[in-house]
Amino acid sequence: MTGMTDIEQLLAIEEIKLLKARRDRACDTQDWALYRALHADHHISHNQGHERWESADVMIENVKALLDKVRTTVHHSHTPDITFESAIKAKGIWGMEDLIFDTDSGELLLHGFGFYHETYEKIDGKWLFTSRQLKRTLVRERPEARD
Amino acid sequence: MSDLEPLSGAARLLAIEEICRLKARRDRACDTKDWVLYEALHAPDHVSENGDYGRWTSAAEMMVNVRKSMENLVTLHHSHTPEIEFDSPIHARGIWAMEGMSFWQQDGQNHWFQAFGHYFETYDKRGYRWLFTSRALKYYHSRRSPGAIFPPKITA
Repeated sequence: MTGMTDIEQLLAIEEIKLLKARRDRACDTQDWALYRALHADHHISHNQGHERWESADVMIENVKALLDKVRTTVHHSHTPDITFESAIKAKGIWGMEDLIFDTDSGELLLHGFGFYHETYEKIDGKWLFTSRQLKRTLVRERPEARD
Repeated sequence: MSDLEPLSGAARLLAIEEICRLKARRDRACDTKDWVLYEALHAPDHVSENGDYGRWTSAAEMMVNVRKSMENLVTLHHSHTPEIEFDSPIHARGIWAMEGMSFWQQDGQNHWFQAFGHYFETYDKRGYRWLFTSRALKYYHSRRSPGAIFPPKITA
């Protein structure tokens, strides 16, 4: 039992969906101040092919180094599966598709599919990300290359 | 959700659902070319701003242009992950991630255009119904088949 009423739970789901929407938009528009503000200080990121990033500040440093100005990304998330451990702790799993282009040449470097496994906490009245792990089901590298 | 929110509880949830349904209908009306439905989703004073086609300052002007510009295109509009917020119980704003594709024939050849971006929209509750009052589409990435002219010229 989460100690939430039905309406409280539905409203919290909407807030978490909005948090997720902002994260995808902040990433794809490279709005790093917004991106950082959506994550708790102790947020942990785990992406296949990268070390675990143990804080939001480390995450931002790495995400900027990987993407800022040199990559154009598309992150589309679908069909949220959001459940509550308590009134201030939740988990979410989202279907996802992403495209990563080289910004200069426009080449499609990666077309991927998978699931985001995330946790959220309500801190000072606001839901924030506390962890994110991307588990990929398929990565197509340079799928349009002709060489 | 604080008591200062202009809409709270079940009323807020229902309004979000109604706006999401409005959006779903707009994307479907566009891709199925159901222009009667499309127009009915917009307030008469709706303003559209679209990088491909410029600015239209009424729903009537939008309809004239949308019909013409879409006539020879097969389109796909997929909208994702809404950010709906309320300025009052009858005024709302939304941002949606989007992918758009268009397919058409140009000099007997198949061509395509693909874009990724965000819709920035406003909605009003007029009477009992939520309607679009503005829409701006901002792409952050687009690409097209070699030699494609997009948008194809609108012929009078």
